[in-house]
Amino acid sequence: MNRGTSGTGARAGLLATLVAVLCACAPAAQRTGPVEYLDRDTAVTFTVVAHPLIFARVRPDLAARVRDYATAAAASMDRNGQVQYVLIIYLWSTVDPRNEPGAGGPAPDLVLAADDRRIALHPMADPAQSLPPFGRPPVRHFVGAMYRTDLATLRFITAARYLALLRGAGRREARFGLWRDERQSLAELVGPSQ
Amino acid sequence: MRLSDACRRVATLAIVSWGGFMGGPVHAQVPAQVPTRLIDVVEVDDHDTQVDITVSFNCSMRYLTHFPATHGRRLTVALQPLADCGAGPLSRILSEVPPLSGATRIVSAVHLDSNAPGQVTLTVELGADEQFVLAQGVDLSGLRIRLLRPQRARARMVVGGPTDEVSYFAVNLDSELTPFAPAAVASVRSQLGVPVFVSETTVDGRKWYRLRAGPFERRQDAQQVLDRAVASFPRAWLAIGDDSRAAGAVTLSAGAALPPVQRIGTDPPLDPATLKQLLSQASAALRARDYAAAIRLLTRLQRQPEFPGRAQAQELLGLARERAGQLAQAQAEYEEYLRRYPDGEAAERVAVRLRVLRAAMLPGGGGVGALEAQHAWQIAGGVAQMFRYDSSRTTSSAQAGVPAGTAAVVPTQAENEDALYTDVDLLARRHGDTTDWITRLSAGYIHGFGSSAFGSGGLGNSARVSLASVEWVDRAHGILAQAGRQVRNDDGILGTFDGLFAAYQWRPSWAIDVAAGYPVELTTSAPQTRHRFESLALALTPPGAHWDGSLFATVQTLDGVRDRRAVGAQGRYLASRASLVALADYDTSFHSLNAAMLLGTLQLPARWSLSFDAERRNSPVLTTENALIGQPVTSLLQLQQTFTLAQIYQLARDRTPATDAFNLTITRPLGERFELAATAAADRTAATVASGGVEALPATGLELSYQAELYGSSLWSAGDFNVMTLTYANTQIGKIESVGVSTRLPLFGPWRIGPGISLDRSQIVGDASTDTTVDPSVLIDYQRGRGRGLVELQLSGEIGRQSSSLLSQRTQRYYVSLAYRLGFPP
Repeated sequence: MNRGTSGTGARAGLLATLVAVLCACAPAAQRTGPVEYLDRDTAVTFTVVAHPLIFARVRPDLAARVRDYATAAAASMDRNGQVQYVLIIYLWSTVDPRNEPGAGGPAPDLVLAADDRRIALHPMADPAQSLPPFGRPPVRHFVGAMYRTDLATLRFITAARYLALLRGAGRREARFGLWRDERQSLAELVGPSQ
Repeated sequence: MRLSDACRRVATLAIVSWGGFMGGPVHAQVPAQVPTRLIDVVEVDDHDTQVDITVSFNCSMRYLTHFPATHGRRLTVALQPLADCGAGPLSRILSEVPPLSGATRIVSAVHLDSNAPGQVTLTVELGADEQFVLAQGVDLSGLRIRLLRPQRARARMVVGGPTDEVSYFAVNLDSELTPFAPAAVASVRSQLGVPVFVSETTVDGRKWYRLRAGPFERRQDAQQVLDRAVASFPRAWLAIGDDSRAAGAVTLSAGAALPPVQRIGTDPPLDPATLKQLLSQASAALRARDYAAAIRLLTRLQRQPEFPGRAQAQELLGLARERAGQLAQAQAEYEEYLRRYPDGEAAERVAVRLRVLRAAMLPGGGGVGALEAQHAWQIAGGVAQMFRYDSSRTTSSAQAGVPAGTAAVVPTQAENEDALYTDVDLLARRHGDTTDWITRLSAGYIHGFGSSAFGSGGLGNSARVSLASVEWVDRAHGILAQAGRQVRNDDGILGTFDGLFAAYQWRPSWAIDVAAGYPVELTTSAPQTRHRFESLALALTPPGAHWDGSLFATVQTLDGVRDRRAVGAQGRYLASRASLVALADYDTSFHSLNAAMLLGTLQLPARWSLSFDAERRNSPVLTTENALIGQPVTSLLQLQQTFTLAQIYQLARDRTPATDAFNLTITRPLGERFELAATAAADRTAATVASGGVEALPATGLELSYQAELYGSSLWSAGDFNVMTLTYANTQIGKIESVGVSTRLPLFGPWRIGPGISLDRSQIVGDASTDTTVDPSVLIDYQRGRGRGLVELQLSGEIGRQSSSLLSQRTQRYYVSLAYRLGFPP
């Protein structure tokens, strides 16, 4: 994970938050429906939701209006007709990484808490496949990875009543609550249950 | 055709069909030699290890190529009908919706079309994206499509574990933070027809109540319920043995009035060998469903002092009581287990079974019936009808300037052929603790209406029975037996037969297959016993390997005369980027190689795919019966009045030429929406010699054909499918060029429309004529669910002109087909 050099203090955090809100809103004005992207290096066709889910974790221990964010965009990967589903998850923060001991490192295991289910997410190990250029955070330093899932799980997520994203475990568990609910976009990707 | 005729046929569409099928005269006639439908039946056979889709043709069809090569949701297979189909290189074959048996939810629809002259395309629409491999057997009247399920065991048969080892799947229908009302639970139970219970779990300090269906011992049973439930329960998901971990300790009954259990140590101790023998006998009795014997033996073991297997005996006793319907006693035994062995190896699964038992014993819980609902008969099937009207008119005239009488002008010919096909298929399955029963039926009736200008009668009426069998599977002992009318195209078996097939898997890797019976040449005929066969095969399927194979031997007699005696081998190799299927069949009595086939696919770099098929076959399969070809008699007994047996065997050799065929197909996606497939094919058939009063047939020479197909999807709207086909062939009849375009466009909801047009141009060698044909068509169809409902209307025509130096001939043909299929359960 890259270490940040962004400005310090609450003012920078507020500015980043405003930028994040604007970036989250702007695509909503421009894109409707899933977006297709062909990776010409690997010949994989991605179909990505128009708007990702955004989870946020407030960090009052550091400063007011400072949050960690996680964006989760569902996508289908079509490789020679073989389709699999993934969640493209970016983890980023308005916190100066210099104030976050232990920040950085590879993409972590995550848990998606949906109603009474705990869905384990593990980053896919595919160094040849880069992430499609959608939904990248508006900051320079972030962690991004694809997490394998399936169609049934994505449909469950569209219907679940409570959603949260968990990182770590036990006393080190960090809980990201649903900050922006874009499950309508997810429903457009996965379609109705048969 | 007069309008009144059309109205009459439409009005009697259902009435006549049911009257004819259920109560009308059924004539076991031999229909016209040329089959009216190319496909007899498509059978879907879903076993634990794989799914086999067996296509039985009514005549010989040569496999050409298929697309996509290894996996997809829509499989198209190009086939060439051979001479006994009544088709030639120039023929345009009528489309058909073939009978489907045992479709369940695996196959949505099957369709046969003609995209190029002399060829047909079999389209199989699958319920989901599947990985598959294709192969033809020794006989060209069958094609097998095997759907590969890598997550299942790779053994040819599943040898189930002992009944005291259970794993649990459940369908979590919904989860709430407040308890479910008993009336709601009962309502769901009656809606789904399976046991339903409520479990509890605590997540992040909050207690959740889970409404669940199950438990199920097999994942596929749970998946079937999930597929049915998800429409009403959008948050439904598949749970795998998570109840006990989530909910914590099971509360044991506190002073509840349960039957007493036997007290430990009340009997004198037995020696270890006796204890082991009693436990083994009890397990065997449980597998054999002799619950009384199992309870007797296990109760005796329960009275023993503690010994190493006592915990297992205690669990088995609870299971035996439960299977015998003694629910209260079963609950008592399970509670005794948890009381005595709270950390035992089976504690978790016993806790789960106890929960289910308690739920079943609640008022409205269903009791034994609810638990036995999983083992009830499951019945599925369908009814289908297809009405066909085919009218053609041919007019001839001499070319201008040709003197009268020079050209043989044929009078105007008009032919009508219309018929109503009614098909019924039934699949009844009962899944038991260790045994399964499966019964299959596929039958139909053809009612011919039309007449020919050369006489009346047209197609005639006939009834067919393509499948009528009972199958029994003993998973514990690795035995499978199937009796009745069935279809097999491997291990040297030549298609449909009336008889018995049995398989015994004595090791995880080894199995023996035996079959015996009477081959069925026409499913419209009554069973006959003149023709008999026996076959034996030894199959090897190494666990975890990417290949499997078998050796077989088969003997066949006709009218008491040796008809065929062959040995052979077949094998499959499956890897992530390549597959190979090989077959060899050698007749040891005729000393002739009946078939040698190699069919493979290969995934190449840069998204290229390659598939090839190389084969050499006796065409038809070399049997003594071939000696009847061209003879004025119909049985070997009659032929023996003219020829000696040695002469008859030689006649059979003389009537059986060898065919060499080689196909190569390459495919590649072009961009995101297109895919290109190019096929080159070459085949030749050897000459036959004159003998026994039958003239010789010349060799065909090398016949070459080239075809390019461009597939496009979602071009005009999401979900559409488009094909452009270019064909060039150089055959013994002449040169053929064809271009065709067809499309399937979603209209609204499940309705689709499929216009198409093709242009064929042929230069015929025989009379130096040129034949030009235009074939427009439109197809409108409606599909509901996966295999649950289908309605299809097709209108097509053929306008052709054939010109030689002497003669000009015009052909006009109109074809209407209306078909529907209703599947059940809905």
